[in-house]
Amino acid sequence: MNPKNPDPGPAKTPPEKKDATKGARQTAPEDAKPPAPKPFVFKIVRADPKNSIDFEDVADK
Amino acid sequence: MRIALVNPPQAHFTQPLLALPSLAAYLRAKGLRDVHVFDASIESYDEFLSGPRLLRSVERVRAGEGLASLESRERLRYSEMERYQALSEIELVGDEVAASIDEAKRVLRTPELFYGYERYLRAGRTVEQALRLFSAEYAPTRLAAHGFVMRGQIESSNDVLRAIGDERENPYVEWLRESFLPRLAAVDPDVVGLSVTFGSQAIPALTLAKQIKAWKPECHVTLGGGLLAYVGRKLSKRPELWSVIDSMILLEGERPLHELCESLAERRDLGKVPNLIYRDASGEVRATPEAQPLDIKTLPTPEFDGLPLGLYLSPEPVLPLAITRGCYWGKCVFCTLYTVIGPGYRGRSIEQTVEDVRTLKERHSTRHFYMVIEDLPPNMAKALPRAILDAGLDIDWWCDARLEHDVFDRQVCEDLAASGCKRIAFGYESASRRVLDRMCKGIDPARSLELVRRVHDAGISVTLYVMVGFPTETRDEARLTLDTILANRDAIQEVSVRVFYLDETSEIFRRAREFDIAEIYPNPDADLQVYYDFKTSSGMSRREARDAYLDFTRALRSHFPVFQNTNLLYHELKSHYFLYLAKWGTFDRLRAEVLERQVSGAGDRPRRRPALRERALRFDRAEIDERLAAIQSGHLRPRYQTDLVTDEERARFDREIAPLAASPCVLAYDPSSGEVQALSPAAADLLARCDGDRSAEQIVEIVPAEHRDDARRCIDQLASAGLLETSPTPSIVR
Repeated sequence: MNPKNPDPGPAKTPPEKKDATKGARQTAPEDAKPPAPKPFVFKIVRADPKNSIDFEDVADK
Repeated sequence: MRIALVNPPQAHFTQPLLALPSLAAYLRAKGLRDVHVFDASIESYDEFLSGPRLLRSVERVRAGEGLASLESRERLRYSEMERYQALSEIELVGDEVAASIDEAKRVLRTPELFYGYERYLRAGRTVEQALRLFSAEYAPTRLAAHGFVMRGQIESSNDVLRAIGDERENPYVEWLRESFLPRLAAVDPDVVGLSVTFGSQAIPALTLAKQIKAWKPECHVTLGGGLLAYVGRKLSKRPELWSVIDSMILLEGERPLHELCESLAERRDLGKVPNLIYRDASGEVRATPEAQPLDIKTLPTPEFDGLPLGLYLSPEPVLPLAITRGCYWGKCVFCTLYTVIGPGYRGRSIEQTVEDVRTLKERHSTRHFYMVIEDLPPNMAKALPRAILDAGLDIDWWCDARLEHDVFDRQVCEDLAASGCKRIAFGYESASRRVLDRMCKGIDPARSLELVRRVHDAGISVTLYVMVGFPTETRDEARLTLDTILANRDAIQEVSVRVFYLDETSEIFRRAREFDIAEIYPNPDADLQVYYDFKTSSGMSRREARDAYLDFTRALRSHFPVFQNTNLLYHELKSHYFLYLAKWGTFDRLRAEVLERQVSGAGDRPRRRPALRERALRFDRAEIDERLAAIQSGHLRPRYQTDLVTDEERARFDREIAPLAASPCVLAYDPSSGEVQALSPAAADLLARCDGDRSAEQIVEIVPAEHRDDARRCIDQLASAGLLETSPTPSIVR
């Protein structure tokens, strides 16, 4: 019933524009699997649709 | 005369409310012995949150089909993002949630399991996911731990009355008819009292009332409870209402309910029953005069017998007990409670309170109590702890209190702690003396902090209520409050912050001009409106107040352990924080041993958890979550109003907000923790390469040298997120 309190969320990593596929191939070990997908944005975010806390509820009755 | 008292859905599921036990005890003491109590709220939660019922939701929602349809699009509009968010989760976790919900309830109800923090968190997540799954069956309706909202607004009697027959979007229509009404009918009551404390109960209560009248038209249905103090008179003006109820009781219910039952039994005119709105034989709606509230020293101990105490989602009951009613201060201009409780301040004696506690402790085998009071009065603060100790009660308890600088001295604080007081919530509101004076709080902010420190030093968890956006408050004053709280955060454990709302029952509403409130905006569609939007000629605008509120929430997340990481779950589940405090004794121990617990690091040869479930998505769920949260933050919605986006707003967002382009991600679910993570493709790729054979260094060699630091950090994050198997190398969760 309370106003939503949005999660500020983690800082976004800007998308990588540079094509680094070639470099990946050059540096990968021989037994490596295929190169990592581009762009090299490594992002892990908890996927919680509520994703926020109603701070009014903290000690509400 | 057979009487049934019902707590309608939706109220919180961790502990019972006090209304029915108080009323039942009073009626029985007056000789009306045939009184039956039902908590339809916890009963409905228990059924909705069950494996078979959730499997039905999975089948009805058909998330796979809906998701496939959305995945076929190039872009998603706002309303499609909403559906995508819900369906992507259900598609990934729905069947597992249905399979594990009964175990989750068992964990929350079993002491040996509840206090194992990892299991507790897993159970809490499962309950949250289950509520979203269940809600999706009735979209856009949303049932959560803290609320029940449907399309429309409950300030509109049109919307409320429309909802009570809406079987498609109101889950209680079917449940009440199929599950609850048959059990109520088995009692065959002559009078049914529905206690409505929260706005979230309004629609389910009237849904039930309608079904009772259809089943047994001669049964007298009366509506009571705290909400009616705000909206009862307005609601009584709707003629349609009187086809589903027979009367309404305003303010405290004991005496009016007793006299109503007596009058009905003896077929007397209801005009002599105090605090009553009813329709007489001619069809005219009448309101009777208000009686003086009862001296609560004359009331019996509440009787929780008959309530299904084993169904609440807590390992042992936390019983509410009102040792006072009303507020002894009663001057704060923003507050309405001292006008709608009673009105008038009254207290039990110390001896009665000790006996109440002893009786309830023995009767229900619990040692946990929540004193449901506006503020602990000075005499009680001084004398109750000693009385509890002298009586050897051995309990844990918590309550609200005023920042009484001269009362909470070191000795009182130590006595409170020794008596089992684990948590006190104080109305701090602001660090600005000017703002506090305008509120008529009667407290000194500097001395308040000294008091807070004494309470904390005694080993009691401190919660502060804070308000931003009080009329005339400036941005600098709000900032001062935040800075002061942050500077003293070692002594403050929780902060409950809210934006000021203009309530028509408050003193400030009546004296609006004195507080530079230049304009008040009634909503013409909301005949049950309680809170009003407004504009001031000084201080922050409403938008600025909202921004200040968001600054607060960000700072709390950053600096307070109880709000960090997954520790949020504590607060979503109410009394669980108190129970954990009681278990660990003090907040400092709780923080060290639970909140800032150690987790395992990635280890030398990281390995993806074999049980993980993954689902590649065409659209970025993290981006969708962020966008949807940002939209909601743009709305300033007072309590009692739904936080759902209205149909009109949704249509506008669909038109005005740029649609989201496809951008792949991977959703990963760990059944052992219940957590779902959204991974960028590069992060998901690293996870896939964590096979337990290669070292982290060998894994990151796959990416160009300039990105390897990011990749190393990503592997650590994968470990922190629980996606990798644990290793002996510990690290602290931050």
